[in-house]
Amino acid sequence: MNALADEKVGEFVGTHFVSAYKKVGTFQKDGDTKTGGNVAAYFCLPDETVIHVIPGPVDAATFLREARWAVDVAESAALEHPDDVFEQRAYLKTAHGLRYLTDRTGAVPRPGKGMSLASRVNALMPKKEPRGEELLSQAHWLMWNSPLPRLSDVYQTVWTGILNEPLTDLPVRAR
Amino acid sequence: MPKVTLPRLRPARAPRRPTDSEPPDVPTTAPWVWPAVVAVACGPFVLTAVGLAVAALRPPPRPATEVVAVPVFVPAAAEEPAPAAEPIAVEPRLVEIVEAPPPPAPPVAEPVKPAPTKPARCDRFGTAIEFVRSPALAFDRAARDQKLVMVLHLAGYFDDPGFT
Repeated sequence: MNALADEKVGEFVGTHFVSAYKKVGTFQKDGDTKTGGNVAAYFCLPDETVIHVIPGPVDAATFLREARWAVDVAESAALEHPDDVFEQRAYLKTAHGLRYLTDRTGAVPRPGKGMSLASRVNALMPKKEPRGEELLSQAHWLMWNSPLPRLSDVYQTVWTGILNEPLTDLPVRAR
Repeated sequence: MPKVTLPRLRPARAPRRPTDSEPPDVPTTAPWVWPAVVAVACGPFVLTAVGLAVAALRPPPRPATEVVAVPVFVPAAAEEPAPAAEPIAVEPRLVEIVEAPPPPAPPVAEPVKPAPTKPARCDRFGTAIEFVRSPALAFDRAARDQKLVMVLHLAGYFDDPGFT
C-alpha cells in the first residue's frame, strides 16, 4: 500500500490514530511475481467498533481523504450525540449512505417534505449488496447497512465478500 | 546348801509427828518447783485451748461452700466476657491486617507499566506510519491516549518487504 509511505498520510495517521497490523491472508510468490494478497485499512474507535474501512490498495490522496472523513464523522457523531451509542450509530449510518450516494451520483440527497434526511437516504440506498461496484462504494454500503460494527464481526465480510480473498493463517508460499 | 541370810529390813520409821514447840515440817523443795509443776500440768490444757482458739478464729475452709462458690464465680466469669468483647474490638485490627495485603497490589499494577513501554517500540516497516506490534495494544493505547485506531489487515508479512 504505497499510500502508507506518504508523509502527509503518516503525519495525519500519527496524529489521530494508533496503528497496528494483522496478517489475515496469504499469497503465492513466484520470483518477483505475486499471486493473490490484498489489504484493508480499518478506522476504529477504541472500543473496537469500525467507523470506516478502505478495502484494497488506494493512492495517498484517497487514503488521506477517507481517513480525514472517518475522523470528522466520528467527532461529529460524538458531538451530536454524546454518550448515546445508538444515536451515534444512526448518525454514522446516514453519513455512510450520503457518501455512497454522493460518490456514485455526485448529487447530495436532501430531506423531502415530511421526511428526514436519514429517511431520504435510506429510501435511496440499494437494498442488496452492490456487487461489482467500486470497493470503496461497497465499503460505504456495508457500513450503512451495519454501522459501527465490531471489527471481529465485519472483517470477514470485507476480506472475503468485498476483496474476494480467503481468510487463512497459512504462511506465504515462495517458489 | 549354805544358809543364805537375807539382810534384815529395817522397818520404816513412822513419820514423826511434829510437836507444838517445833515448827511444822516445811517441805524443803525449792520455791520455783511448784510453778513449774503447775506449768507442766496446765501446759497441755493451755496449748489445747490455744489450738482450739486458733482453729475457731481461723476462717473455716468450708469446702462445700467452695463448691457452691464455683458456680458463683462462673457468672462472675460470665461478666468478664464483656472484656471478651475486646476481642471483637480486635477484629478491626484483623481488617487492618487484611488491608495490609493491598500493598502487594501495586506490584500487580507494575507489570502493567511495561505494557505502555512496549507500544513505544514501534516499527514503520518502510512506511510513514508507526505500528505497534498488535491490534490489542493499539486499542489499549488509543483508549489511554484518546485516539482512534487504524488496523491494517493484509496478506503476508508486513515486516518482510518481500512478503507483503
